[in-house]
Amino acid sequence: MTDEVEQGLRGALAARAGQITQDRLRFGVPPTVAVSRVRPRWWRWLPVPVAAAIAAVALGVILVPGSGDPDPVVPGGPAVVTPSSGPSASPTKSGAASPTESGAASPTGSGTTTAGPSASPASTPTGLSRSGPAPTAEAGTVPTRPGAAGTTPPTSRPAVTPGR
Amino acid sequence: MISVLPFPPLLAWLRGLSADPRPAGRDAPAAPPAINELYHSRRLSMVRLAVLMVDDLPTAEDIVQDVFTALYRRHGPDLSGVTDPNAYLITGVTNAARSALRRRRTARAYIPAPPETIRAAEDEALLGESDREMLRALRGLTARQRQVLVLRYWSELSEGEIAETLRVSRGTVKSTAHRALSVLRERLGEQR
Repeated sequence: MTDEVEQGLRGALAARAGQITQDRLRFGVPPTVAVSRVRPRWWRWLPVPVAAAIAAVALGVILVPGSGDPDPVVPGGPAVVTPSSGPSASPTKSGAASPTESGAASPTGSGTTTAGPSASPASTPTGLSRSGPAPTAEAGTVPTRPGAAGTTPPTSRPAVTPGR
Repeated sequence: MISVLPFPPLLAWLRGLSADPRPAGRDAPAAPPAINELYHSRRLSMVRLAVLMVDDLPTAEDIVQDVFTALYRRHGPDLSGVTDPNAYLITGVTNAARSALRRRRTARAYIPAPPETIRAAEDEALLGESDREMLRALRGLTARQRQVLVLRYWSELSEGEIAETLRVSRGTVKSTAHRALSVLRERLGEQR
């Protein structure tokens, strides 16, 4: 019985397989052709963005001016700040910044800078020493009599307040 | 020049750089890839094997095409690293056919199957009555039983080869074949 079933099975499988002939198959495309058409070759375009990025970086390095150079140090930096206190700052008057005349310069500086209208004379010296170019905004009032500032005694504060 | 390039290996290397890697030249036709030769020689038998498992020619052709494509993508046109391409194809077709049968069974769980599969007239004409009965009984087996019987009685593989193809033990192959033959015997006895 077993041999009969096995023989019948062999015969049936062979008959069914024999029905499949080359003519009945669809047109067979080898996988080398089929896959090559479908596969995206994105890596062939990879050099394009890479080259663009490299060119952009190179242009950025070339065109940005002085990006890597340090700022040049101005030799006369403090001398530039000093004239802002008044147009009358001359070499001779800068010499007036001596301790003896510091009091004379203080009214101009103090009145212009931080103290404001109610600036007291006691606070003026410190305000002058710490004040920077900011006083120049109100220094327009001060230069009215800068020359007098040099001659004004240290205690003469009205030199500032009348300007207001 | 000799003083500059004193070493013969360096000269040979430089000659190799300038030489054409293909000795036949560019105009000579290159040999067809091994995958194409295998495709043209084994495609029909693989489609037949798939038809015996899934009983559907278009599905069988798709399975075989997918297996060849996977073989090409994994091992290249020269099939480097494949010791036995035929065994590779049989294993691939068997696994793909089993997956197709599983998908078909899942689909039929939701979509009612037609009462009787309409087969081509030429298929019916060329088959005898006993063959039709046998194939009808074969369709009632499980996918694993059907694979074992097809590989055993059509591909003429041994139990060891079937076990290696299906990645099961030899005892499993033996018991599965025994059980499948018993089912066939019962169904054919009932029909007769």
